[in-house]
Amino acid sequence: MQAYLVLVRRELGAYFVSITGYLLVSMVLFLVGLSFVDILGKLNVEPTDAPITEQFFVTVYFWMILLLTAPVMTMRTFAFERSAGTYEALMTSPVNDWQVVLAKFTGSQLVYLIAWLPLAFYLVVVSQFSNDASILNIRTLASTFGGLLLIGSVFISMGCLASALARSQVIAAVVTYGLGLGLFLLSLRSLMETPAEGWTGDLLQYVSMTEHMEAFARGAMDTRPMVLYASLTVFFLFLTTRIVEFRRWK
Amino acid sequence: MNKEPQLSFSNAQRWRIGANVLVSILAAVVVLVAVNILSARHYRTWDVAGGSDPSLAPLTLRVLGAVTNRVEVTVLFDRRSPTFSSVSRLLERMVRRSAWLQVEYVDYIRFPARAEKVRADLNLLPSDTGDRVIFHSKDRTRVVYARDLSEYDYSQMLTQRTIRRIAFKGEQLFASALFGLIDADPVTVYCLQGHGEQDPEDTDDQMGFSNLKNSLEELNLKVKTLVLDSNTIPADCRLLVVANPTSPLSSAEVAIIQNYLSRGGRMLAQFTFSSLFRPPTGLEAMLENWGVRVGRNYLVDRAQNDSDEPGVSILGEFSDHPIVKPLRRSRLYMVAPRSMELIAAGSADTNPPKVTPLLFTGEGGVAVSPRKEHERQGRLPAAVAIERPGGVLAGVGLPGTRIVVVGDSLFLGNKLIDQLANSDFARLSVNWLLDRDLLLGGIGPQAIREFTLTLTQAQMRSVRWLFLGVIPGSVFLFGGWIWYRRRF
Repeated sequence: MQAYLVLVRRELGAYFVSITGYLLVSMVLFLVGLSFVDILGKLNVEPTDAPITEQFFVTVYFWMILLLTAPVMTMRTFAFERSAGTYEALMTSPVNDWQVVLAKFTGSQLVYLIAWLPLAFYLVVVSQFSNDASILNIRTLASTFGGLLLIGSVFISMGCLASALARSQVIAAVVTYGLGLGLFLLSLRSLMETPAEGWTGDLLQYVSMTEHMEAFARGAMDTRPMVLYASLTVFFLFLTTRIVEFRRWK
Repeated sequence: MNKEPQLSFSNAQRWRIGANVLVSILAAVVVLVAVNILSARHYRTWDVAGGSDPSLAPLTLRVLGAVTNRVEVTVLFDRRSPTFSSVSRLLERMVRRSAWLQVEYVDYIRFPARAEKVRADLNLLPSDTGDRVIFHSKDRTRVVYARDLSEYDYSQMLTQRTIRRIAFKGEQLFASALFGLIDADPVTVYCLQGHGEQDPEDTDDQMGFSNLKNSLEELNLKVKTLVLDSNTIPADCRLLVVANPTSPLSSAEVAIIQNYLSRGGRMLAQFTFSSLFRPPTGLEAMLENWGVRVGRNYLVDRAQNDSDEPGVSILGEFSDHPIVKPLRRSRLYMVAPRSMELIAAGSADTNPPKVTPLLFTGEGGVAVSPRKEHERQGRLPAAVAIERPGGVLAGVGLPGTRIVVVGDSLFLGNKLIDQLANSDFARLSVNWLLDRDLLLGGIGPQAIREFTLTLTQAQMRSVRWLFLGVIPGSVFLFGGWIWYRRRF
């Protein structure tokens, strides 16, 4: 456990002692701000019956932020270690492979959460200008962050896998972006003129991230997406561990 | 010197490691799929939102629980419609409760070809356009139109030129549509003809009842016409509609109807102000035996109309009766309805009927006679419900009798039935008359919360500056300062 915590601290340090982490967080904040300014402009003209949490997560900004930040956050996890020549030192230190993978995942996940945390502040600011205090519901906010955490876990674990596979950070980022985009495109059932039927339709509905995120933002909790995202995260982390092991014995 | 690179492991060992990794990955894939199949089959859902996303009413849950066949729900909607989000949220909650519901969203603006195919599949006319939700199971189809889904507040229409959507009636209507699909064989409603009554086949704007017929068919009812040329009312008649006869019924015909009612029959009787200028139909006298006097006058509400001339009446005062309970925030659009008066039932009945007024004028109501005399004033009823519990006659159990009497019939004509909550009143009355208590009450309209933001130009500028400049800029500058401190 001690080794794991040291590794997590090392990961966080790598983000926040250099400018990388701050640049990433400020980029996320700028995009979140941009989407809020857009929403404010619309709500100032036309009333809506949807709470503010729902307003944000159906915008293209949210998915843009999610699809772009995960590759940037995770591309350095393994690929950077290899290019900087610290990978061998890390692998020969007295830690298990799974501890390394988990620490890198936890570090990226914490940066991801730190980047999203100001969203709560943005929501509170916006609710101050509303005619109805229930435009922001604390329980809905909690379920929204729960959804963010679950979906983010999948993207970050995918990023860790891509970074473990690739030698170059850029390739790792591109692979993560490609995988994330693929998963996201599967969600866009509503854009299909003739929706898939039978088991294909059921499968597409089961993995529809946009529908899941909308439900989380509404406070509608469902064990299915929770299990899906948790199992996908564990699966990608398992694959990452196997890749790391394979490289050790190669 | 040519040195061969030395391998740490033999080829066999490397192959074994590779195979081991591959097998473990395949095993992980199997576990991933198995876990998710189990999760898809055994899941739990719950709302954490509390007030902003209420659960379904117990009646809706009962209807959903009774669905045992696949129901295809086609949401033929423009996604930009203000009602769309309420519809999709409601359907999502319903789908979570019943796996038999298969929902498909068809945006006819974005996908006209797909919408056309849906129209063709459901035999919709090309002229039959607009947002709607179609419920289809086996050979039955029920349609809920978007125009029926909302209640509106017109109070600011003249002053601010705005009409606000104040309530969403989707749950009530969707449950009703589902009930129409799962209900057993349709029951038959007869509309009396032969005395100038309004005709369910008539498509005339004002007097025609064809739209009412369509609404009744959507409630899984079979609508037939009836001419009283035999001595009885057909045995399959579950409800008799007598809408505005313009010539008197013979005493024999009245006796047939009276006999039908005393044996547990159901009737919806309607009059209009124009009947005041004609001889009584005979129904008025019969209804006095049931505790109701249909006034020889029409109602005017002074709050809406200064004149004594018969005109439009917007009625929004309802009693607590199950028929009108769900309409509490709604209003009905009527044309000078005849007044109703509660009196003692005519005969010395051991099982007297209970008469309950349904809707009233405001306190400024006046009952005006054809000679323009003011007969009564105050909060006057325009419709009543009569109920006599079942009893035993000659050792045989009789079902209870139910009658609804309304002082106007034009309000259910083809043109006015779509006004305000007129069609809801018709639907609720028929459901009560047919003992379909499942579809009454309990599912009221859900108030719509409307969120608006009020920011001045200066506040908007400040927020923009804060969100796009100050907050991300501060984080970036802090990072730059850290980087600078470490570097120099």
